[in-house]
Amino acid sequence: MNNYQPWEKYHGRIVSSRGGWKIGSGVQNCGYDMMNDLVGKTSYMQVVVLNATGRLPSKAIADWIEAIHICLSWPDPRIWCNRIGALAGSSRTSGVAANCLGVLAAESSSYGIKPLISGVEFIEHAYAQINKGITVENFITEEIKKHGGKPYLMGYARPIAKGDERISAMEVVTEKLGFPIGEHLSLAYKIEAILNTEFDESMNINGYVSAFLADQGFSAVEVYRMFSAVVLSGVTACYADTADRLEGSFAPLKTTDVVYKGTPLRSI
Amino acid sequence: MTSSTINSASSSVKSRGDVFANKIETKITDEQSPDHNPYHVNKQLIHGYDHLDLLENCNFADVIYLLLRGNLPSEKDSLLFNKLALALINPGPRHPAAQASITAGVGKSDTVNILPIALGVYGGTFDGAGNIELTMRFLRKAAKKLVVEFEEDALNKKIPSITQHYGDADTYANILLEKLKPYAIEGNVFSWLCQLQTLIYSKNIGVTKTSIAAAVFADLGFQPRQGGALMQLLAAPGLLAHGLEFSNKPVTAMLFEPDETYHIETTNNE
Repeated sequence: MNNYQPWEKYHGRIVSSRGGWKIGSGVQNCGYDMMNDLVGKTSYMQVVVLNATGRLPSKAIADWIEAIHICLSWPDPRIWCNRIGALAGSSRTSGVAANCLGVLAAESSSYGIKPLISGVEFIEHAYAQINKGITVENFITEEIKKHGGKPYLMGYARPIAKGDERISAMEVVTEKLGFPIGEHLSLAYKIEAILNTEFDESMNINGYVSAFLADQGFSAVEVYRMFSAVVLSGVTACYADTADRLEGSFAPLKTTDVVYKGTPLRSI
Repeated sequence: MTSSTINSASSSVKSRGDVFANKIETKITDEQSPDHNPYHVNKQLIHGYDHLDLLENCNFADVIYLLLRGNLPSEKDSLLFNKLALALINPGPRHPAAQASITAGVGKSDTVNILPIALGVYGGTFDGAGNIELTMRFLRKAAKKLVVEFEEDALNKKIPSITQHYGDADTYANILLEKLKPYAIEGNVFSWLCQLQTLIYSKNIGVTKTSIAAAVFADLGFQPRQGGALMQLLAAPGLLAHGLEFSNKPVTAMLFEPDETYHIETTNNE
């Protein structure tokens, strides 16, 4: 017996739980026949979730996820990932590269994909604490202590602006698709009510999405995988806009636009 | 679905029987394993040199040259390659690639993503590496002819990476060209590029960092397909430094243009 034995079963072969293409007999995807079971019978977003989680969601859940993808990516190049797309277009980088770079940027602890992981973990943690008998008020008090007395709970208090127009848009979608308010989302609303009264802060879209998806049984890791390219369409828009303009014309900077605060001129 | 709805002969899928390699081959690296674990390495050769000998006796840029060219550079080529690397090392904070780097940094993108983002943008054709392969191919051929034959094309921006930057001949590229002359002038392509610059710079068009890099790479024997990635590699330190500088700063340290300066054009959909 050697210490590298666990790798030996993968040496010289590919092992997949998802599926693959066997030439002449078709494409398997998580137990489904891709061409006969999925193409033309499911939405693209259903297959995205299938590939990410191994489970084929209902059309309604996939439609909800598609709607939130629209909410979470908009064509404003001031948003960081979009700015990178815009800079790429202005620099005449390829469109594929621009899209990938913008998506890569959104792997951020401040915005994009990572807060969704933290959001799901937070509301699951909150739900577990409340089920242990802690009151919502006490839970919030303890969480605020962790943040130096500030009400910056994950999923609440939006950066740059207060309030979040995307939640009301998604509440309409949720109702239209026939989803009831689940236990995680219900708790999220209770937390919001207290924060709103005491700190004039409200839920942000991350809090809403995280709670809804937790109610649907998705784990934080699954959400991360499902939403990996969530910012893509906004990046594409910002790339396309600047790629069609004068090269170098997105936010060009003069030397006087940058303030040098380093060591004055010195010799080697 | 009935068979009558299938019209294309492509519905019958068969393997073409292409024979793929069952092992990858490389001329670059030879790795040898200890007896106890075939996934471990106890000796590595790079183009025949023991990696540990290179570690003891070479500088970083020389081993980059070795990896890409297959041999260590001569003393003169080593000096030139190092000088070019220094010439390209910092595109500056205003370069769109550095702006992307800074945006990724201040936006708290994973720090391991900052460099790929910056280099991706630097892969564009605007003051970046995007055109260097084309430029190297052009310059290698053109340098075999008299430079005066190309003056008109240069003035009409028909030569890749011979252009203007924000409306004028690139000032700093011209300075770098002069600075590199003592190290690079013996190269046919670089010498040709300098002659071209003499003809055109006074007419407000000229070399760029891309064309300078292309000329030096060509004279050092790098292949055009290596040019883009190599130029990215040499610019990486400066691009990365600016992104990392902002990775600990608050998001407000970066520009976020106010709505008053944000103009949304009307479209046909309105």
